Amino acid sequence: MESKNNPKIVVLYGKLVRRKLLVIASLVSLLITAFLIDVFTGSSGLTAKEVLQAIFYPDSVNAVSKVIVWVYRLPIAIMALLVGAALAIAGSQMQTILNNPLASPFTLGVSAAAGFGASLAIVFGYRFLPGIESYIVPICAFLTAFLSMLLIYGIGKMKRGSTETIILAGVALAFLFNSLLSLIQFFSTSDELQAIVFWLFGSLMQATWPKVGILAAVLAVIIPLIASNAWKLTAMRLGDEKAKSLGINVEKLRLTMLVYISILTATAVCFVGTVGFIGIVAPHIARMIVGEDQRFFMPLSALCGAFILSGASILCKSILPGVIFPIGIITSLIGIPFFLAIVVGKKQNYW
Amino acid sequence: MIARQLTFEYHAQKRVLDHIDFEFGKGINIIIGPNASGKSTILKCLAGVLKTKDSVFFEGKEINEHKNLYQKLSYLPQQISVNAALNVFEIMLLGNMEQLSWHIGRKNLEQVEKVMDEFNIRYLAQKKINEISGGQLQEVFIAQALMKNPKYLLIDEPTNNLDLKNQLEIMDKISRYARKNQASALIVLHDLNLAVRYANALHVVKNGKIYASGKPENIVTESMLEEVYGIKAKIIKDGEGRYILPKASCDSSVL
Repeated sequence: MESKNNPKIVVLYGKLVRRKLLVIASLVSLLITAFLIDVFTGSSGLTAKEVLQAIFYPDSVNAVSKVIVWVYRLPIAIMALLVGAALAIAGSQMQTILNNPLASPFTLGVSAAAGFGASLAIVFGYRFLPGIESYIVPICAFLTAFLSMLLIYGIGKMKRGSTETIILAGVALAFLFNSLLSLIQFFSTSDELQAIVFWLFGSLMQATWPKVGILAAVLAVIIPLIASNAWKLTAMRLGDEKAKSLGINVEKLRLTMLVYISILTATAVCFVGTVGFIGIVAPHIARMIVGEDQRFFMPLSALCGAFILSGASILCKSILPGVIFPIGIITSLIGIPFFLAIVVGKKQNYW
Repeated sequence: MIARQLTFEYHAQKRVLDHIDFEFGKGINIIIGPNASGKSTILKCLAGVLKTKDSVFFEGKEINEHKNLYQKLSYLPQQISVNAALNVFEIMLLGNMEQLSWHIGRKNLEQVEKVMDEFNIRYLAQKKINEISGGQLQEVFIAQALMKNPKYLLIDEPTNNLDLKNQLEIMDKISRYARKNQASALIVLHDLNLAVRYANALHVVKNGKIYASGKPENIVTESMLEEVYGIKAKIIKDGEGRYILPKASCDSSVL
């Protein structure tokens, strides 16, 4: 039974959804392209054909090519995608639940905490825990990053989930962990100092399959948890009072999301170091393109984050032949001017 | 819907509501009172946005015991933050948030269309929420509040930002909705003339207490206006109703 006005909102909705799906589809294809270029690029001079051969028929190529592709290029390229997606989702949800455009794991001290944990492990870890060197740094970084989020959570909970408190607590913790990091650097030897600084630069080079697997598993668990709250999260942007009157337990949702965000961020950051910038930029780009209906906003944020980090990974390897720049530096250097251009040039203000 | 001995304080030193007893039934109930008298706080307590204990009752049950309270109750705060990157259509959808899933069914869309058509705002559907005027925004959010067909409708100053024609139209729409759906609306208003005109029951709040409740014609008197608002006013009666004509503040010296 169709009344004469009926089709119009339905038609409009259909158009809206098709447009947003198209955007997502085109970003997926961009992402695949970036990923392939990332895998093809490197200092060893393998051709694209050889790389593809090594991927699909690993036994048909020589051992060196196989190692280059399977031990280095693939995990690094996949890690770039996963870290980009994880940090972008964390940033998009932080901006949403805190109603603040500056919120991100980076600005609220999670990266600083991870840096502190990593430096702690670099300076003291080897002395006490020999044998598991390659994991002690990420484990410490994860623990301190997660601890910092728990602190923010605790302070937020004391103040019944107020956004201002959470943001201010995060900013204060960022300073705290930065000072602690400096303190450790001050006491470290020059070798240790170099290791710390290199970790802080952010690098994908330590990526291995188990690390890729862990991050992928975390994403696979956390994404559905966030997605099941999609409409509540969208409604959060109408302000606390309105959200409450729509039936949302605002404080509880905010604190639960903080836990999810902490796990995502801590896992991503602990493996690759400080790559903070993605968490702010990717959500802003996604918001500008599809708006804040979380059903599209969150996936597009993830795709943008993955794309940016994949692109940065390509640039790291191709600026100077034979030199691999740390990805944290490249993302910031390339990303920030680009981001400022978008912010200044955009027509609408959402904040 | 009943409030019993409702007391609320933001700080221990400052009690905003002081043992209020208060009841409202079907139709249009309007709260009036001077600034900072506690009108909005009453609304927030009744809406469950501010937490209370054993004071607010709906349909005989305490507010915290209602599981699906917000399927029956819509609350519209005075100020809505509107910096989200959402369009009017999406805002309307959110009005029925508890019914939404990743797939939006035809029923949800038809409900959006029905309510938007009642408010004549379908032309705004694709506009970004931060591109429309203050008055349009007010209309959109009132329409949103009606999306779930609430039995209880709590609105804080719905006529804010609206010109005279739109003030009347919005109040007409809310009245019609309440009549048609046997719903109870509780509205905070500043405009006494609108309050007198639309209220089935009027509640006057002063300093966190109910000063008077009842039919508008019994309540709005020149002495009430002097005691509650501190103004000298004249009440003019004509065939249709009563109109309040403020003349001077009691505090201002006559020069």
